[in-house]
Amino acid sequence: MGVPVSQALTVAFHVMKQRLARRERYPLVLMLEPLLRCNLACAGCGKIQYPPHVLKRALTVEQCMEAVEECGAPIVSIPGGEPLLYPHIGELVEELTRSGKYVYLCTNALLLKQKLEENVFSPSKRLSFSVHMDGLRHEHDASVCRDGVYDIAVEAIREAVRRGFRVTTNTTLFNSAEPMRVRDFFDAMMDLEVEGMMVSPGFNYDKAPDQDSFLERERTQQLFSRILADRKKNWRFNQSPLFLQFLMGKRDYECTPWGNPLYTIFGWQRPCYLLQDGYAATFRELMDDTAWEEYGRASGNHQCQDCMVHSGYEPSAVHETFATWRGLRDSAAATLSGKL
Amino acid sequence: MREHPSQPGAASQPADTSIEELVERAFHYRGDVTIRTGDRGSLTGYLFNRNSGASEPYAQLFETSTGQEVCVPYRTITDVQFTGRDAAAASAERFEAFQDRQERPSRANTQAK
Repeated sequence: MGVPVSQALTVAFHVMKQRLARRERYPLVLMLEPLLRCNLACAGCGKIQYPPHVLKRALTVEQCMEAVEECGAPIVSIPGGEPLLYPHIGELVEELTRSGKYVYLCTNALLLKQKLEENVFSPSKRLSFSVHMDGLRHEHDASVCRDGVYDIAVEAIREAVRRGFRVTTNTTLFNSAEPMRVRDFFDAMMDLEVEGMMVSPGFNYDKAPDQDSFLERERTQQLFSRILADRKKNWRFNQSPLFLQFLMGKRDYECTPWGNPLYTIFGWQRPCYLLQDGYAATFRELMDDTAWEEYGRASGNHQCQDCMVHSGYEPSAVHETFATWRGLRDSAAATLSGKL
Repeated sequence: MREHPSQPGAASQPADTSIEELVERAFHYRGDVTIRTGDRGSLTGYLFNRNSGASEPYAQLFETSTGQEVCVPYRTITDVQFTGRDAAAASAERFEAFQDRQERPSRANTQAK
């Protein structure tokens, strides 16, 4: 797998610490959105449709660091909006890495090459650019609704790799995905020498402009089974092999939305990164006062029935890996053998 | 294309809609709203949060003109109007236009054959 050993150990210690403290619910990855503004308008995205005065708002670096401290997760993912539009992104990343966090900066890469040339970032084992790539040129440009974005992102990835940065890709798949094309896409990303890939089915945002392309659960499992069957040995994924097996329908998990809590300009989002049922003023309030039993597949909540997104289920897979012998054994076996 | 669930533009509400229902609709609306209150007159902004289960139920807005965060107790609200453009509906319209542009050349090619 593509995750560095030091990062895997940090996560493992974090999970064990929570287990020893007998915490049932704990965060693994803080999703930190300093702004909601974006320079793309992707078909499947429901996160950026707000009035202009809301899109102009941004968290301060101090607000971000207070949220990081309050949450305590070892990994901070910075999605958005487009984080490279955040005027203090260099300072924020510097503060985060200095405080010992592992940072995934999720970007569409339109501004990445420019920011690299301006030396906004320094290479670090704690910083990874997670570049949004939804497929090969045709599929990606269609997904982001703009021609030429794939080529810009590829050029930026090459530049970041050349400069010694950790680079991963994040890919959202919809019902138009063709397994063979996705496999070709994985080959292309490996040729670019990215550290690892992250894949997930899209979430059925009710505010996304394209309401016809989301995958239902059974179709998700069929799609990922076909994509990941006979997985090539050189494909590296920056995510839990147990989560990939879950996507293939080989495992069943219940959603653990508190594993990837979201802090945004509105506060701590209830209940998860995807659903917007309200906001808590503090992380403690989010954890203590959210009616968690009303969410997840077992709850019967209709919004959760087809969701298999990484933000809800990857923490479940990581928990199994580091909290059970069976999970650790299965994860190690999949990692060493390369078979899913 | 499935009908987009967002409400379009400024909308008047049926007279029998409760304040709690109005606030709930406003929370899911991706445009500005205007809240009329008994004590503060009217406030226009983006309603980003509400808590109907609190001991004193409240709604939170980012006021459009000042950018300030304002907290309004339900008991003071007399009406909610959807006065701003729905950004989600606007986004859906742009996507449909994009799809039309994408399909136009392929339609032209088909007709040419």
